[in-house]
Amino acid sequence: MSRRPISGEGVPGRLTARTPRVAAALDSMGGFAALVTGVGGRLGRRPLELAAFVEQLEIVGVRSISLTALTAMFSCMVVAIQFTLQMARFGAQDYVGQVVSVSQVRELGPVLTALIAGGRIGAGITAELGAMKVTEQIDAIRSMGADPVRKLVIPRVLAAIVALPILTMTANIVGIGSAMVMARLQSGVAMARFYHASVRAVTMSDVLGGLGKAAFFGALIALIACHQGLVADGGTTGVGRATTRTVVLASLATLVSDFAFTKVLLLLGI
Amino acid sequence: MQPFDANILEIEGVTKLFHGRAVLEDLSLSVRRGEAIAVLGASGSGKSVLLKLVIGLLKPDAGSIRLDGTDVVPLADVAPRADTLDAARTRMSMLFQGGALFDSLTVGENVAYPLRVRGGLGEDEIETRVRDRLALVGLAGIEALLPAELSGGMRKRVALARAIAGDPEVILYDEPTTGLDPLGARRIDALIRSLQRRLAVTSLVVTHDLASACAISDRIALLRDGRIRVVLPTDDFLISDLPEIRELREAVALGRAAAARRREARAEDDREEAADAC
Repeated sequence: MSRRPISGEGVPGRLTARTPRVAAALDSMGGFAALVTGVGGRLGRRPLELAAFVEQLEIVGVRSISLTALTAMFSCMVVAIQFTLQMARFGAQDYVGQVVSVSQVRELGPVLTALIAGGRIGAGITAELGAMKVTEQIDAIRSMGADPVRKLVIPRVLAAIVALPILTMTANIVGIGSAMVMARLQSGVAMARFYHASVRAVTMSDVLGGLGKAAFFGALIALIACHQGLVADGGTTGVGRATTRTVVLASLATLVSDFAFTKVLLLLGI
Repeated sequence: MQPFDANILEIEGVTKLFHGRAVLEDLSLSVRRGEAIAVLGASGSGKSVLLKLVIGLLKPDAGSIRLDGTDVVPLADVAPRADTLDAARTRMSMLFQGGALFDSLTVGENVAYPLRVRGGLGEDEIETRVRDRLALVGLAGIEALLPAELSGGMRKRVALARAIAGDPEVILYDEPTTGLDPLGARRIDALIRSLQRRLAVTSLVVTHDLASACAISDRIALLRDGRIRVVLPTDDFLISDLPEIRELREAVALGRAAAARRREARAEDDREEAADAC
């Protein structure tokens, strides 16, 4: 008979027994890293779950458009009001288009979209996969020889990678348009002046940098959400806890990685 | 088919720890080809864990699990061998406690799922197989319904249709009667027994329901404290004087009812066999 060593014993076992919270955190990070490498290893391999990808694109993308547009509209209108008021004191209100557009395209657009739409997308993914986990549907998929990463995770991650830049682009257009109207109503800044200031200020690298960040945030949010869903346990309460964790982790990860991105892009001169 | 007494599944010295606590400890059990064996144990005794170990959803900390001589335990360790584990899984299927039907798919798509995963069948063949399997569990014509529209008993039967869709050699049943009313439980017992006979499969049933175990199985194994304490033919189990079994019978006060259920199940088998012979 082949005997295998019993894990959980020895020095690592004793350490994790004394510090269960640290052990759980390390375990979770290890699981997340394994999921990321699992997704990376399977990307592009056949068979592609095209139908599932299109379905997820509709769920995470199309159904988030109105939320994204409303968020961008109101946040950009507030920015426009504040800037026109402050800049009018120095007679520089004509430059408000420049300020609003650059900040929206580079930062506000991708970050707010990731925070608001990403929260909605991430919570939805975790709730769905978590419910599947606690009702043994994930086990059922594996028991039939199918791969949950390929069937469930990859379509959601790819859909988020495609959807977030499109949503961000939508947010940019709606947001800058709303700011233009608001600057006109608030301080009488001519729309043509606002438009030309924007076009002059925003470069292609600003737009691409912002959309690249959005795609990265999309991947990050979907991966966090899928991981939390797949490790959910403890029935419906566990699914609720996992969903809350997803929203918190996805928001923090978005803000921290945005800071890192901004520093790196500045260093690279982009 | 190979002789009845050849072991199709051999579980040897299996230990499984959760958070340093042994749920199963040095557990051994042999399952003969073509038999129905019930593992009887209290809630939380590690019955479901045992099934998940057999089908490779969990990995034991020690021991071996051999399907026709091939140890399925180390297969998940090395990526290229994952295909071999998948091959082992195509020979087994599992009926999960709550059915584990995919909520977003229709009944027909659920039953077709293992066939689509495995590939090799055309859509027409899949459709015919799905219709046939649903008819076999007494639910013909409900392909278009969603799992949410079904009762608990119907969900179990659809899950059973899905479990037998791919013609497995071994079916693992996790608490097949849990959550059902007594009549529904008896119907599932009879259905499992009938499928066992018609499809000539090997069944490993874990349950805490002595009456159900008696109705379904040829042999009963008693799981206690992480180990198989005793394995006996079902008829012998019912009259055994072993203290653990006596205690169990008295505790659940089901001995007589179980024997009656067993007689009924056998009579039903005989009736079906007679009907088939006609």
